[in-house]
Amino acid sequence: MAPVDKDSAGLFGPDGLAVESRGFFADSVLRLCANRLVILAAVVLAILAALALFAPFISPYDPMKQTLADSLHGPGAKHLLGTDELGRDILSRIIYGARISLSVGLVSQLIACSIGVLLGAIAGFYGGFADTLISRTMEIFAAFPELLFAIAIMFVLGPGVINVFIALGLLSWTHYARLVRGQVMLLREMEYAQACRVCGGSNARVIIRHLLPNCFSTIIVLVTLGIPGAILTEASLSYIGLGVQPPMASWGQMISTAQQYVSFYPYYSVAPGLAIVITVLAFNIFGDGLRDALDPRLRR
Amino acid sequence: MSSKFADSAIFRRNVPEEKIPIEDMAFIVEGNSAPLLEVKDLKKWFRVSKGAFSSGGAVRALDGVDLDVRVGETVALVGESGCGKSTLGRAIVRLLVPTSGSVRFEGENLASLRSETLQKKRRDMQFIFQDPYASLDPRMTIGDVIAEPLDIHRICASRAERSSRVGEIMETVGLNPSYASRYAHELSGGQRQRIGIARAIALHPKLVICDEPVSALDVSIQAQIINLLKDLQTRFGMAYIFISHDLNVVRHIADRVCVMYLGKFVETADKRDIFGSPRHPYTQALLSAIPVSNPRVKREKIVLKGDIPSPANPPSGCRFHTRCPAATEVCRQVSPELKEVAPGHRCACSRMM
Repeated sequence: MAPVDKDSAGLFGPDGLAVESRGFFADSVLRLCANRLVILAAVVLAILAALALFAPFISPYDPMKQTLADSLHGPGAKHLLGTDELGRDILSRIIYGARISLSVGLVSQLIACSIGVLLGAIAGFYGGFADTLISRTMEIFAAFPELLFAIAIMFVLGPGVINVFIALGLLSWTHYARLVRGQVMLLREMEYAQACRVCGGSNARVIIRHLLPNCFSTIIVLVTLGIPGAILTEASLSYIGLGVQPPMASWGQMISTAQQYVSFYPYYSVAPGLAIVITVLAFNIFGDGLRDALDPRLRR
Repeated sequence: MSSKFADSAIFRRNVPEEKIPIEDMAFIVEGNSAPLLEVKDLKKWFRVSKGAFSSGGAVRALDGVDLDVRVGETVALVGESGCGKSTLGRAIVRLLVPTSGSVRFEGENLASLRSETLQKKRRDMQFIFQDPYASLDPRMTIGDVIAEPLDIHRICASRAERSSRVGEIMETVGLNPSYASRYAHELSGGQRQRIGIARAIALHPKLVICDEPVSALDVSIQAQIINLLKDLQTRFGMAYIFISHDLNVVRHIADRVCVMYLGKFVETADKRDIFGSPRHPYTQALLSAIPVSNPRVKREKIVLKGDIPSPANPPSGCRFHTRCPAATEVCRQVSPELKEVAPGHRCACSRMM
């Protein structure tokens, strides 16, 4: 295969083709970068990820270290965001809390995505009994109020981070399954999928090589938009004491504790609350931008 | 494979790259009198459900079709949209599973083949799709699209061999091999259709079903693609089933023509006979609808009244009687069989008998 000629000065080469041959991702990234708000959200997410990854190096104090003499101090030079009821540094606890929130968001959505894509592809591609079985199961899962369902699962599994992953994964796989099912039903009738079958391609090949890659952009958008929901649900679970257990730091659990002191020490609840709002907002904006950038109708 | 087809198989595997003079082709066609493809009484009914508690009726998209295709010939299927042309093409390559009837390819009934054997047979039967946009995966490079049949049948031992094969095939269909790393959306409709053709001929099939391969293209591009298809046929000796509603295109490429109406053949004959002495009133009406380029030539047009009836509820007797200008009482009651009216010319009309 001859390399694409990139030296030509014009946008189009002598053969009338765009000189720069851009792949799907390069093209999408380019369109993503055209939106400034999305870049801001991406920067915020990158900072959050860095905070979570390098928490031990960044946080000024040990998040577990109690200094009872300093308890419930307001923001100041020594503790930038103040201290909690046990004298622990709130900034450090928020930085460590980012680890919990981001990992809960990512891992739970990856679990949900794996289950949902697999079952959705089977239901959409094969139809018939498999479709009926999976679709009805989906409806049963979707019929429960989300938080109540999460509480029930956590009640069975017991509190803990790993169990939060599992509960939130089980909670949201139906979103992925429903979407992928619809997409696969649509795409399997496309002529390129049929062309693969005429050549002798197996069902697995049609699904893996043609259908799923063409669903990919919708899936990635759903993951990005699913993460903030999972973060919020984790915060709710921790708030009612079923999620992350103390002394581990989680934003939801911090708000829950701060509630007792809200009348005379409001700073305590503001910081983790803001952390949640900023993270969720950044994910939502980024997800929206991603959806626009990956929309095939915007492609040339 | 039975022994009488061995000759053609050897010929195909050993000399596919060389140009074969047309006279030789004719000899091969004559020498192989048994058809490459034999379709017998093929039916495809689509069940229509009216609701949860009633079974509903069936759309008889294909209602008993017989078709023989010999090695290296081009058979055109023509008819209005909705008459079952594409359904027939798809049922032959088993993109659709027929309701009844048999499709024999080189003497073997495709319905009775196990899936691995069917997969091997599929090397010899390929399909060119109508829409050059929908038929190419937008996420694949052109090289990968063309190499897909090679990958599926594990033909290339190395990546280098694969890309050289792809380059060869691209040159064969008149595409610049440097486009292999590009995506289909970067090319024009005609170039995309060339990719579709390249994919279809990558395995050197014996039969290619072309489902309206040019109807989505500009007229100037249509001619290029038709000529490409003709060249490839001379070179590789493939048989074509050419589905079209454009009789001008059919006149250019076909050896034999089958006219379809509501899931049945109404007339089959050599191209010369169909265009020179059409027997069935429907064929006559279709031919009279071909536009003439000279505006001074006055012709009597046969204008058919009404629309094609619903295949879910086809008319009694002859299916064409509701629109036939010459329909009689007999036509309303008796369904005419396809009968030979001249050597090689068959027609299904009660008035012929």
